[in-house]
Amino acid sequence: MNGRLLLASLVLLATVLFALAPLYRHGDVPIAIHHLLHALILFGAALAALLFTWPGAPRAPGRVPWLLITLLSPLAAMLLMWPSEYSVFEREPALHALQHLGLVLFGFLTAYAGQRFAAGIGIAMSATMLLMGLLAAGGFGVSPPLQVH
Amino acid sequence: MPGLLVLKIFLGVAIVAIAAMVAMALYGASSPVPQEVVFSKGYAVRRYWLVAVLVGAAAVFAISVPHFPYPSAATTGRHYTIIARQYFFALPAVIPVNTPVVFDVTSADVNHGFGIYNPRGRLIGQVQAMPDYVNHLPFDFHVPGRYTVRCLEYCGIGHAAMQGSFFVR
Amino acid sequence: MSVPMNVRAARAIMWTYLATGLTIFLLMLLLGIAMRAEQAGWITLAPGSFYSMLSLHGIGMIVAMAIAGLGTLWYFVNREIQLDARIAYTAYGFFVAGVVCVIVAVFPGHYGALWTMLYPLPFIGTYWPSWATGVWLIGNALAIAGFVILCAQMLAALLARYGGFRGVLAIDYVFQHRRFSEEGKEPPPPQMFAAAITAIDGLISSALGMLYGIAMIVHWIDPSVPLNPLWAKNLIYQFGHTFANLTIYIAVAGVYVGLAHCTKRKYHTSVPLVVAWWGTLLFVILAYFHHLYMDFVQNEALQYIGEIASYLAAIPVVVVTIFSGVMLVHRSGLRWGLGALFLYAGMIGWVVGGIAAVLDATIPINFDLHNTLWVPGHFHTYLLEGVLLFILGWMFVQLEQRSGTLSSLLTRWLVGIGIFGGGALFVLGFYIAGAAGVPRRYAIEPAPGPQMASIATIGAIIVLAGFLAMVFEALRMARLPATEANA
Repeated sequence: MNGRLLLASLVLLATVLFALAPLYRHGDVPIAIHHLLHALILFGAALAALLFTWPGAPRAPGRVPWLLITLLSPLAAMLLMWPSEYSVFEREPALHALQHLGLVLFGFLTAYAGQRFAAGIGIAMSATMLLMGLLAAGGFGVSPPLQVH
Repeated sequence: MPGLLVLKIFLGVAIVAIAAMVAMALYGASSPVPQEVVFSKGYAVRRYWLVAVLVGAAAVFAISVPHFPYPSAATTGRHYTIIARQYFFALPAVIPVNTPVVFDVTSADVNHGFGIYNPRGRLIGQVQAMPDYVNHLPFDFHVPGRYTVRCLEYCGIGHAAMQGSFFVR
Repeated sequence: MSVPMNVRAARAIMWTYLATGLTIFLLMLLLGIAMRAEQAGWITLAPGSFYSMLSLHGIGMIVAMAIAGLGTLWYFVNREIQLDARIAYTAYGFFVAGVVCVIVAVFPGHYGALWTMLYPLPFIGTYWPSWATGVWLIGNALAIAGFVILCAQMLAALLARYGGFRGVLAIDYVFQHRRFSEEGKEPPPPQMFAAAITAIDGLISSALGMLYGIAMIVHWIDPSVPLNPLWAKNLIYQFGHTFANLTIYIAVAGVYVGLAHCTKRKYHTSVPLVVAWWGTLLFVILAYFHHLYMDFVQNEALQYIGEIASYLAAIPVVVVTIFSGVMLVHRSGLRWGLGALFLYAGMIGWVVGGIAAVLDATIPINFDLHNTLWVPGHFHTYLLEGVLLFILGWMFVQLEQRSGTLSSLLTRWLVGIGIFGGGALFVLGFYIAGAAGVPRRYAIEPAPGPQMASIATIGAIIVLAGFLAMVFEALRMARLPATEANA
């Protein structure tokens, strides 16, 4: 096993352990922070997939299914971050951990399928997925702070 | 800046641009020259053109900044709360003339616009009315009369009919 | 001499996209004439019908221009590296599905919250059923998915062909120019920068558009999920502005190839051209802040960035693209067929629409023009007299090349007066009314809106006549026998 695969495995392991946090840590986390932590999970999973598939010489675009998976996975990840579910998750840590594992899966698939489609696309799609995850904190299920005037 | 002045500037610049481009296409069209001849001259001109455009843009930016309509820490004035909702405005009846005022504009439902039209029917300023937020619009009225407010953000079926008025005295 | 299978397949895709885009354009043009005629008081429409038609017209036109332009761009990329036609048809399927959803949302759904829907509008005080909002949102998402598929395919092809992002963006060509040329390397041709920037900015903006779309769909299903209205506005305008703006950068590829063909000159990739495209790459995604100038709660630094980026976005256009285009034509002895005429007139339209845009992107001016008819004045100029003309120009360059003929002088005058003359009259109606403070998106306008709408309606009908003359001419030329070299 070479160093790159070892590193990829470690990143994936760390991401999964981080994703399982609801099982051993409880706390009231605001939705915006939730989104940011989820973006971190997506990032870790995508990074692991990129390391697994690296370097992969640039080659012509491949098959449609890979393209559809890398296109749909970020959307599935955003749907998993449905903001009203946290009231349920506070009572059901196992469900919450399962949701996080779903994020690991979709984050990984985005990067992996993208790279399988063509080198570079996994990077591009992971970057835009990360952008979506981070920006979600700005208003997806998040009301603005009440203004004082 | 008044809209009609902007229109004059626009038409002036546009006509010059159109004339220049048409002239470049027609001039010497019957006596073609090799590409290199045109391009060596053109590249020399382009440097000056780039500098001119950059300087022009920087100048316009610098001139525009002091005229930004945004409130600053130094903004003072009597505050008036404006609440927009489908499809009317809650407005004060009278605003004092030659007195700095600040409109605190918000919406009770969807996004609206708060566009102020002077007694001659010209749009003289505006701000958006957004739910969950309050936009502060500083203003100073110098001409007394009846001002009309129109909605300047599409808000639904009654959008075009959404208006109100106040007097400046 | 027979045409290779790959070229045949690529041409089929290009013409499918072109025909679809132009058909949608024609239908949307009819809707547009009806709306202007209603504002002029010539016909009567219920306000609800007006806003539903406006919603359809807006998204329909943007998607029509994007589809027609993307087909051409895809064809150009395919000339550099072979693309899988199945992917283009998959994307086409998404586009068609999106268009069908959008039409269903409007007829019979009566959706009427525009394509740049601002949360929470499509959910509060609506005159249409909730399902229409959902179908509209899903239709938008499908169309964006089609766009993303093409962006990903083109980007992937470019990365493979030119050696990663470094090669696609010609970094070495600019920073190590001497070594690059000494090694005998060639930078990508100009139209590949149009493809690369479309793909990169397209992927970024589509991500934001999709985030907004998902948030809206989630709120539609589960109203207990609130969204931040200011955040929502930033997302929809980042996507909406960038997508609409990209249509002209998509279509400009036709100028690079078509104008070079007409003038028998070469449109080279140069260092200024590459740097200009880098500028476009950055400024096109930042310029959208000008849509939020009148939201005073927006961070003020972003307002400054909006004005600066809007100005800077214009510089690559006027200093490089248009300037080079004019140089290409100047004293080239080209014969003004409809192809060259459209391409050159399109550059003029781009400049004129750009001047109007830059003025309105100046905050103190925007204070008096924001959401007036000035705004549609600007974008109708660059879409009708810019993007559309680039698309038609490229189409006629090919028809002329294939048949080895040019249109008759009479046809050129008829089409020219119709599309340019009628178009000028049509957009002037917007500009004058906008300068007088007439708001946009009013089913019934205050004075001088109706008077200007009358002029605009006449202009739009002349455009329609010119467009139909153009269609007949295109069909006539397509039926001519192909010359030997192009069989």
